[in-house]
Order: sequence, then C-alpha cells, then structure tokens
Amino acid sequence: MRQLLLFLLLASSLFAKLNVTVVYPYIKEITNSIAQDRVKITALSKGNWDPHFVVPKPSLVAYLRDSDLLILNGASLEIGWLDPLIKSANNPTIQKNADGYLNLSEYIKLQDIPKSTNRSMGHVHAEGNPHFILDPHNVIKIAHIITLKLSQLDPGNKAYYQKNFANFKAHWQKKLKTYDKKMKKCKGMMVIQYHELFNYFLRRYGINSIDNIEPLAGVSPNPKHTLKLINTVKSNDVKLILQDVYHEHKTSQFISQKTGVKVVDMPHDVGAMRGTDSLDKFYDTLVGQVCR
Amino acid sequence: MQKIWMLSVATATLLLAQEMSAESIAEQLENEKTTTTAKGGFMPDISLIVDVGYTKERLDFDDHHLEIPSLVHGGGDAHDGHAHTKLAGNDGFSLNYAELTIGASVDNYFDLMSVFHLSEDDFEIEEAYATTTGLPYHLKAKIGKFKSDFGYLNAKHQHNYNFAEAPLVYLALLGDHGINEEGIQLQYILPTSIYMMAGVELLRGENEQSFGTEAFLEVDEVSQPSLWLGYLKTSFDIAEGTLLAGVSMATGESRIDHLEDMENPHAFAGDTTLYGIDLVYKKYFSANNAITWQSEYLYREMDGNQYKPDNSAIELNKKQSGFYSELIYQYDKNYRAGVRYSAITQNDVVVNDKEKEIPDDLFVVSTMLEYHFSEYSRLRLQYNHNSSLYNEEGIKNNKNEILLQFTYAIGAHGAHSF
Repeated sequence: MRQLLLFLLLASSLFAKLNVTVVYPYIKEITNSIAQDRVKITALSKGNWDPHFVVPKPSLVAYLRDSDLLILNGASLEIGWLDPLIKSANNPTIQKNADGYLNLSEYIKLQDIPKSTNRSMGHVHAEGNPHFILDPHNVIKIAHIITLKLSQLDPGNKAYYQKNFANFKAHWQKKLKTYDKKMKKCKGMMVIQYHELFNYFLRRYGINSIDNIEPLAGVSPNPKHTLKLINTVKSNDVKLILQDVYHEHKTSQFISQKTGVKVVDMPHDVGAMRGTDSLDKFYDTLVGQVCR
Repeated sequence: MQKIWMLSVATATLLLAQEMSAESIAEQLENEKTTTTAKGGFMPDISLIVDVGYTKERLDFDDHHLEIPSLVHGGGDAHDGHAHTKLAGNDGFSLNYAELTIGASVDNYFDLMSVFHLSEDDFEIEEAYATTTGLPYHLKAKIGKFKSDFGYLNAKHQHNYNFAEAPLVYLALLGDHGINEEGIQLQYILPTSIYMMAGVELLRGENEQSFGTEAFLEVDEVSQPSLWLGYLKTSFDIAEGTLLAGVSMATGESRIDHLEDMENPHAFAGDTTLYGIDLVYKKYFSANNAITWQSEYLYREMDGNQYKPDNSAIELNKKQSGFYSELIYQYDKNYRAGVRYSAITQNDVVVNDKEKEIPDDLFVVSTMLEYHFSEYSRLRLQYNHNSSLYNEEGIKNNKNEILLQFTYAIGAHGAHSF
C-alpha cells in the first residue's frame, strides 16, 4: 500500500499542470502555442489597456499566489504597477530571480538605450525601449525562451513543448517572409507616432518615425509642440500618423485636419483593437495598416 | 507488488534525469541572455519627496486655544520633542514635510525598506522594516518599525493621501502618525478564488491618542508589547470596478499622560479597543480616467481611570466613533478633483457612571483640485471647512482655510499598491 502511495506521489508530480501567469496578451498567445492545454494560463492585462498603467487590483494577487511561473515583458514596462502585486502575493516561486520569474526583456537586444537618464527627458526607460514585441522578428526568440522555461519547470512535457515550438517556428518563418516582402515597398516612408511605441516595427522595415505627438515620453501634448509638429509634417513628406488605442485621439485628428495626412489606428498588443485577437492577426494588422 | 516497485524506480529515475536536464536547460537559458545590463553594481532605490505649501485660514473669532472636545487637546502642540501641525494658526508658507525612502533586497530572504520623515527641525524614522520574501504557505512577515495595515489609510504615506491631511476621524482617534510603531506583522493570503488576506500584528502600543505605555504618578507602566491588531481584507470586481473591503481590530492598554498641560492637566490609564471598517471602490474607464470612492468607519471604546496631578482618580468610560467618505474623480493624466466629508458620530463620555455633556456636532468638509505637471510633480488646491474646533469656554470656532500644496518626487520610488 505504501509503495502504491509513493508511486502515485511520484507520478502525480509528473502530471501536475503548471500554473502560468503572464502579464500581457501577446505572452499568453505565444505561451499557448507552445504549451496548449498542458498548462493553465492567465493574463493580468488586456490588449487595449495602456501597458504602462495596469490597475494593481488585489484580485490579481489571487492569481499570482498560486502561480508556478510568471512571465513578464520587463525593461521597466511594468514598473508602475507589478511590483506591489508580486510582493503581496506571498509566493516565493515567482519572486524576482526565482526560477518561476521570467523577464523576457533580458533575452532581447533592446534599442533606444539612452546615453543618460534624467526625468527632464520625460519617462524614459534606462534599459531601453520596452516595446520590443512590435518587431515580428523577435517572436521566435521569445517563443524559444518560453519553451526552454516551460521545459525547465515541467520536464515531463519537454518533448511536447519542443515539438510545438518546432511547428510554431516553421509557421512563423513563413509569416516573416510574407511580412518582409510586403513591407519592402514601404521602406524609407516617413511617419509620426504618439509615443515611441512602434520603433521596433518601424526600424525593422526602414520606416522613419520623425517625431512624436507627445513632447516627451509620458507627457501630454501641448499646443506649442503640436503646432511645431504640424510644420514638421508639412515640410517633410510624412505619409501617416500612427495612433495607438490607449492615448487620446484628438491631437492626431487635429494634426490630420491641418495637414491632410491620414491617421491610422495601430495595435500594440494582441487584442488591442478589433480583428487582432490572435498573434497572426495582430501582426497582419500592423503590416496592413502601415503598408497597404 | 513487484511491478509497483519497478514502476516506482522507473519514475524516480525519470525524475532524476529530468532534474538533471532542468539544470542544463537553466544553463542554456542563462546563455540566451543578451549582454547583461547590470548598472554600476549595488544601488538601492532612493527617492525624495518634498512637500511645500501656503495656507490662509480664517476663524469665526480670534482664539487659537482650540481643541476637539474630549478627543484632541493641547492644540496639537509639540510633544516628545517634535512639532505637529497645530489645530489653528498655520498661516503662510510652509515646508510641510520631506520624505526620504531607501530600500533594496537584503538577500534572498529579506527586503529592507526605510522611510525618513523630515520636517524643518526634525528627523524621524517613520518606517524601517524587513519583509520576508521566501516564507511558505502564502505567509509574509514584517519586522521593525512600520505603519500598521489597520484600516485602509493608515498604511499610506502622506504624499499618497488624496487630501493634504488625514481625515478628522483619524486625527481624533489615532493622531498625526496613525498606528506607526515597532513590532511584528504576519500576513496570510487565503487559498480562495477571491482575494482574502488575514493579518495579525503585535506592536509596542505607543499611539499617543489611543494607547501609550509610560508610567505616570503611581500608575505602573504597561509591559511591552501591549497592542494586538488583527484584520481581514478582501477584494473582488463589481460592475467593472474593483471593491476592496476590510475589517480591523486593535486592542491594548492605555497610558495617556497630559499632566503637563497648562489647562486642565489630567492623565488616563485603562484599556482601549478600536474597530474599523473600510471600503474602497475604484472604477477605471481608461488608464487615466477613473473614479474612486473611499470610506472608513472607526469605533473606539476606552475604559479606565482619569487622574489629576494630586493623584485623585475618577472612573472614565469613552465610546467614540466617526467616519470619513471621499469621492475622487481623475479626469485625465493632469487633472484630479475630489470631496471629503469626515465627522465624529458618537462622543459619549461617562464619568463615575454619569454621562458628561460633550459636543458631538464635529465635522470637516474638504474639496480639492489637483494638477499633475507629470508623474513626479503635483499642485493641489484644497479648501477645508472645519467645524470640529471648540475653545476652552466650550464655544465652537469654525475654521475655513485654503491650502496650496506643491509635491515633488525624485529618484526611484516604488509603485503604489491599490
């Protein structure tokens, strides 16, 4: 009898489902492609929210309390809200530097790293621009890291995760080929954006973002800057004004009226706007909005 | 039987193999990291908040010797060598406070946090505590000097209040600092699908408004620690908003010494119990557009003896309660506005079994408008109508005041909780 119990105990440790909490929907989509029904995944935020300011609801603590793995974007994108939640979850498994804490930004080559940081420059991140998910070429790397982490914590399903990753990689390489081909004809195009949200995407495809609607990172637009921007748009061959979903739309509409340059809505994450509820559709929309 | 043994051995071998492969995967993950960006070695998070302002007040009549009857006396003057905002007479420019925080991980077992509250002539260690990061069973302990998690507002720092000062009921029952002292805290997150947190604290028991431990006259001191606290908090979503609710209790012995007061010197020794209910509801329409409704009710019972300087004693029993309720609307990144009403709802004082006539029509109404230049600087304009102040003859002296308050923050200041 005791042996049977021992066996069941050992066996159950092989088949216990991992509890994975992820911060943003894109991480949920990628993790889902790798793990499918072998883990339980919960996302802390929604795609149409401002990723910098998620409300640190105590109800989220209930998810974090039971998590075996927390996957975050990192590079200080969550600095305004995630730390108190992790601390109050009383769960040693997902504390910083524990095995169940995966910071994706540590595995990505970050861009826009400031030479110096000073708050008079607005809300800049010392580590660099945290919106690296906007480059579709970062997706395979992220999926690979998540596959490794899942295999580390749940070695019983390692082969399954690796098989799924291989399929995902093959699929994504095809997607990348299509995107790269489509975006080629827009190389050298000039645009403006609200916040430096789309830099990774734009740089990947040689599109020049020549100015931002917000005068400094995290600072609301002011009339002086907006008027200057109108002149910039007029005197350069700016083709599009890129508008994200969570900032106000009035300023971009105003600039559009004064200059005749079109405003396009841009998703920054899976589920940010209608028709972006999967990873494929999210990047399809990004590409489609900028380069028709 | 043998089969089971073999299976067990096979499973164990498999587990062992997996353990080894997990190690090699960890190594592989480490190698996948882009060049590490460790910045200049060890550096704790340091932040400084400076709060300066201007006050213009007007009283019904010119008498600055004011008290909140049977709740706060002595005009809130200096005690224990540090000054407080007085109940009246604060006109002009002021340095309200500066708050210096330094915090970092100590090791993989503890985080350390310290908060220094500075005024023009004083340096106070408001908080200095370690919290555990690795306790099992969803437990967390805090050791040191800290703000108690009693109620909702008590644990918040002044820069995080929605108004310039704590509400009347807090000032009356808990004083300028709230429950903020040395001791130990243990908190447990219950394994329920909705958020439930239970906590207990054991503290020295030195709160100057409700507890206190020091001997006076022939009354012995209280052996420390003497203050027990317990609370239960829960949170869930209703109507696309989030509700945070809690019940709290604090109980301990009291030694409140006002024998040095110029007028009517007295002291109290006895037992005090405090109950609190708090309710916070926040609804976000977008990241920077939200409405918050925050309310707390406090009830205090004190039972013991009141002493005169000649050591004569009378039996004293106080039952006092009050609440505050505030509504805050955040319009966008820049503008916030709010109103607050705080009142004492019960002020029953029984001396030698005889009820005393004590005013209980005590309330303060406040409104405020904030402009946030950025996440790090804020201007607040506040108006208070204070109808809780009486002079020594027992005549109410209403105070109307306008406050202009600038708050600046520099450095790495951690995110605030809900």
